[in-house]
Amino acid sequence: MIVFYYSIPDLVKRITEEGIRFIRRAKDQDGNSLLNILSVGDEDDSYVKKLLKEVSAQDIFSILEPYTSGLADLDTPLEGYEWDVTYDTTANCVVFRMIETETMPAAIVTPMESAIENALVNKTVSQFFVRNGWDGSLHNQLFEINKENLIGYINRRSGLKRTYKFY
Amino acid sequence: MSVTVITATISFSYTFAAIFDKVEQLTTRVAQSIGDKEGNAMIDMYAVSDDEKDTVLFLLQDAARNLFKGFGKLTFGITDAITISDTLVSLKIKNNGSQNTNTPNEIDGLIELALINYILAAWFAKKILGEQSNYYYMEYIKNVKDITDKTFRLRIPA
Repeated sequence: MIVFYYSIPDLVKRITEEGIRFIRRAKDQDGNSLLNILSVGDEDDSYVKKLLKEVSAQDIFSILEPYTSGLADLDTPLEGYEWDVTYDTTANCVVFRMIETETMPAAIVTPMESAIENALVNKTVSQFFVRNGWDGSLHNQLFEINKENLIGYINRRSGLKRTYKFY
Repeated sequence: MSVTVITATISFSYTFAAIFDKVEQLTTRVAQSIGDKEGNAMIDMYAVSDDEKDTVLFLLQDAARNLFKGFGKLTFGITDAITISDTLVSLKIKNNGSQNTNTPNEIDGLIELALINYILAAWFAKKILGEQSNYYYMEYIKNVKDITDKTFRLRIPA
């Protein structure tokens, strides 16, 4: 089994920085800065977490979900996705689990970990911009690339076998 | 002008007395260059004097309201983040500790300039001196842009 876990406050910090760097020079049609409106501030914390939980994390879980079959049958049944839990010693984590095959190259876990984190960040930034009346298409494109990479990493695993049949 | 950086907040404060003194000096300089038909400087007409203190106070308060609204999200969670009284205007913002240590001082100077330029633009507009008013308004806009640019770092988490 592989476990990917990310501290939610750390993700929010990255989302904040990614968003602010992108809209640093954004202006409205009158030339007024949009930095204060479009930047993620403390007052947006709960909304950003809501987007992270209900949009971004769900998108990632939908990709990993086919590989969670069997988690519920373990001696200690586990969930494929958990939100705001303590994992290991890290509090407030979002956790994704998937079944690891014996033939899976160990080195692929690191790029998978990065792809998931980047996807979570880019999707949330994109959604935050769209909901604040700004163009979020660039970050959505980045999210799509992260998603394609993640799927590619999963499929790169040699000897991948599903634990269930399609029929 | 003054800026105080403590663990949780950065406070900017501007007394009316100090701002008024600078506005008085600057408007006098401008008025010295404006002559009537006989070439006499029109200081009494265009320079701010103690008689106009109430007007300048009103303009300072207006300037502070306009300028401080751009800090909106940085004031979240701070009680009485903006103070506008008859003696001073002040602003408190969150200190996330990620900025260059010189940045608060730079912002402090820029805020003072912006407040003064806003007052001068409004003052000369009221005196029907469009050219001077436009000049100081453009300076104010430039100050606001610079301040916004400087606050960029204050918004990024440490």
